[in-house]
Amino acid sequence: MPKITIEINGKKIETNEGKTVFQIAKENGIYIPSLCYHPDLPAGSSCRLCLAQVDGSPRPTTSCNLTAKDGMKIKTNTPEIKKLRAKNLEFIFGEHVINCGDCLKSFDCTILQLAKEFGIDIYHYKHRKSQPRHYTYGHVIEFEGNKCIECNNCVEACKNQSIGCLKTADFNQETHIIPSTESPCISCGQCIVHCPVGAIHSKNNVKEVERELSLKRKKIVFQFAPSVRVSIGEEFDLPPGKIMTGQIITGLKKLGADWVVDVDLGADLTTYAEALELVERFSEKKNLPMMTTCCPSWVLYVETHHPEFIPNLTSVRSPNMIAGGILRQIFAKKVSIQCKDLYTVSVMPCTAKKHEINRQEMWHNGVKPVDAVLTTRELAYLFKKRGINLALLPSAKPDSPLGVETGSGTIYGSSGGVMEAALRTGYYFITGKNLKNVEIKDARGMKGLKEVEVQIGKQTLRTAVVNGMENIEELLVRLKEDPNRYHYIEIMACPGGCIGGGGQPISTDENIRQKRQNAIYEIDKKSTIRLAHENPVVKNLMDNELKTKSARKRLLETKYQKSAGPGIIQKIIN
Amino acid sequence: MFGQELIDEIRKSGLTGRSGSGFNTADKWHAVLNANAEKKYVIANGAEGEPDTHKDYYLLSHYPQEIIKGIILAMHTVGAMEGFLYLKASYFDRLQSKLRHLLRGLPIKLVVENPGGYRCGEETIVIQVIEGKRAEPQFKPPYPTQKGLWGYPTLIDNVETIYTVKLINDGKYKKTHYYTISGHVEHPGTFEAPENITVENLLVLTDNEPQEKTFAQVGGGASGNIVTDNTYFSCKITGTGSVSLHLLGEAPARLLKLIKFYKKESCGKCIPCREGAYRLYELITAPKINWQEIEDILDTMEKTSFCALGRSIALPARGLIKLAGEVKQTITEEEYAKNNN
Repeated sequence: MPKITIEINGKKIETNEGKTVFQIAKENGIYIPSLCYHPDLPAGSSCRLCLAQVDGSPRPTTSCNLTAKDGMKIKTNTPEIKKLRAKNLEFIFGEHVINCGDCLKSFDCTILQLAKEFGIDIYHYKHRKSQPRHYTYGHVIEFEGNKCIECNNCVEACKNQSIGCLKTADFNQETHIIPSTESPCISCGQCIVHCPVGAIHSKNNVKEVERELSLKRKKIVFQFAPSVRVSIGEEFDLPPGKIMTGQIITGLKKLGADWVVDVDLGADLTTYAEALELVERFSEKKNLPMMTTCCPSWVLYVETHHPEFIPNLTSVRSPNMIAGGILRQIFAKKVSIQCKDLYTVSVMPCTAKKHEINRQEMWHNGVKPVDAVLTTRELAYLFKKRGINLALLPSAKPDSPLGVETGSGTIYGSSGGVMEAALRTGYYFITGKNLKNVEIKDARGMKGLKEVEVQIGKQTLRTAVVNGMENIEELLVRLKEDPNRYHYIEIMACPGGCIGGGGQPISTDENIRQKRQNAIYEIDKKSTIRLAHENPVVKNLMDNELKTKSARKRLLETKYQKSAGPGIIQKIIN
Repeated sequence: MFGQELIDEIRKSGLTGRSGSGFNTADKWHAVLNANAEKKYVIANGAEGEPDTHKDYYLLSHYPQEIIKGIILAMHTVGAMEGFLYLKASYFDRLQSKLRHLLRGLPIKLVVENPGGYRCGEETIVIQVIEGKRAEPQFKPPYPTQKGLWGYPTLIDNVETIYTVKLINDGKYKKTHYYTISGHVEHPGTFEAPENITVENLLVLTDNEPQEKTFAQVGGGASGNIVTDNTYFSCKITGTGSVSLHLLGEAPARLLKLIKFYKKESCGKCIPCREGAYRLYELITAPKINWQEIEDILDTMEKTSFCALGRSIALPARGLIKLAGEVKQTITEEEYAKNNN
């Protein structure tokens, strides 16, 4: 690629052609403030903060869409630019109501930091949205119109997911974002992680968990998902991919948890049951390709957009729901308490899990397997609120017997992980032997649609791994061409799988997701248990409590049904 | 005559776009002609969003055949298979039956702006609207000549520009331009007069010399510059070719009207235009006006708005503020209403 040389603030930089000034500045440690720019999305250039003055240009331009040309001389911090940014920031505060009480972003609010940087009066203009529109759409997504700065990132993120349930309506000061009923929301939460000002969030369950923690009416057990351990550190200024398993456990105990267990066990149980089902369906050629259901957004997508695939979905529950059921129905007995006296909280990288726990077909006699879901962000907020700095905590081990961290369970956090774990175990079920090399490299990585073939004895198992809803279309095209192309498909709605989930820390991009993913495979590599069928707890449960078909059906399986998706609730606040 | 030959002829004439931007027409046509693509489009832009400007309407109602022939000429020249005649909603309502009749059998589609308004004449918005998308401006570059309608090179020209090219082609071009005169004058209307005429000469020529102290907004009723009568003799008419005359005392009301216009016409995409216009309105209707704050906002809008709409308010607003300061009047809603019936 041809090289160019540009000058930013007097610093000569040699770089590749075709990049924007904003990108080049970022790569070279030159700070340019911005709100609406997001590397995942096309530049919208609506916040008008990332201004840069090109030599010879009559006025500043936004650097996010300014392609660098050889010899360009750029200044990003002239007094004029600072003044203009400050004014635009004052405008932004006129649209964003200062209501930080229960805002998850309140500990590291981007616009408040900018306000300090530019020394502006955040009340300079009176908040102008007299009748802001608040929406609850999807099962768990809430939109606060009076915090929205109309940057359109959520609309673009939703489009990126090929859902497009958000759109911009009206013009001028009446411009606002509305959800649409035409394409039902799948609660993936990608709109949330791309919102710069916290105007969209998932249903906040922090308060109810706090209440249980302080009331102590019940014994409280927390379980946390694989991908949370590699992302939550970011909320405490640690680099992405920092493994925080032990610190999370210590932190949760500090909050008042009686027990802390690892969802890895649930993942291993899912793997075990799903591999059994795969072997059965593969040999009988029944309802192939079989599709994973660990991702509740994908399940919602099938139920609302493509119900014809319902028979293809595996009947096995997600790790979250299996682990919740095991905790309440089996663990509770082991520690001699009533199942109703246990309060189960899942910490998830996911917003759609908040919906999953409300799916009544997985309840037992009206009792939810999981009482509440906190996203990674919500847990971090709760820690910060209680003055717990995760970065400074010592490590602890999860509570046995249910809390073992396993490689096969942890890789669920990354795209391809479910597939890899299931293939490791499926191989064993068919051949009676373990794979020589358990690492199935083709299933890994960030590519949107991966195809993996595994030779099992004389048969070839053809599989596909999809991450990010935008890649579903391509999968559907391939399936239409040849319905028998695959035997098994893993689908995760978010880019990169759960490590890029809608409940993860907000500052997400490809680089960050990659680092989280690397950490997931790092854990797998160092694990002593890397095969679900070798997890002693799984073996024990399968030989005892889950020995009977009815017990397995009750705790491990579920069903799906066609749905029109949830409606939209609009609340107008005066 | 078409192809390179016609473009050379246009270049010789020195024709620039008649939409107000004044871009060199030959350069634009040349760019589309030279663009390498399987498809190309031509759009004749009759959105005429500037208030006080009606010359496109005049041409569309008096010379529709010439305009249509001009579009075909453009299509032949740049190699486009499909053309569009894009109209302001009110023009569409009045002219559609006549135009449809004339367009019968031709590869030219009649389209109407949606939702309408000032910004719907901006070229990237015209393309958005024809594509059925939200009327929001797009990045330039890529320019429509490179990536326009549905991603293909597109020639988008004002109706009068296309009409003028037709005249050049027929050897009838006499270096004239169409001007709209409105406001406090005896004989408002659209007139043909030599290019680069001064305000003074046009007013004399059309028998519209003001008898009182006036000021004029020249080159568009929104974005046009404000000119005082002691400089009429030296001020050449640019932009969309409009001149609207107002009594000096109307300056405050015109300022309020201008701000209201920009507040309403903002598409809402970028912060400075959407919020700036709103805050200007808030400030200008306040009991005590903070002029410094208004100037700060105008400066921010002018320098940081996404498209030309937000950027263009500063020039006329500053002119009007200066005049309003001279007449020392405060503006109230009632006064605004009184001055505008």
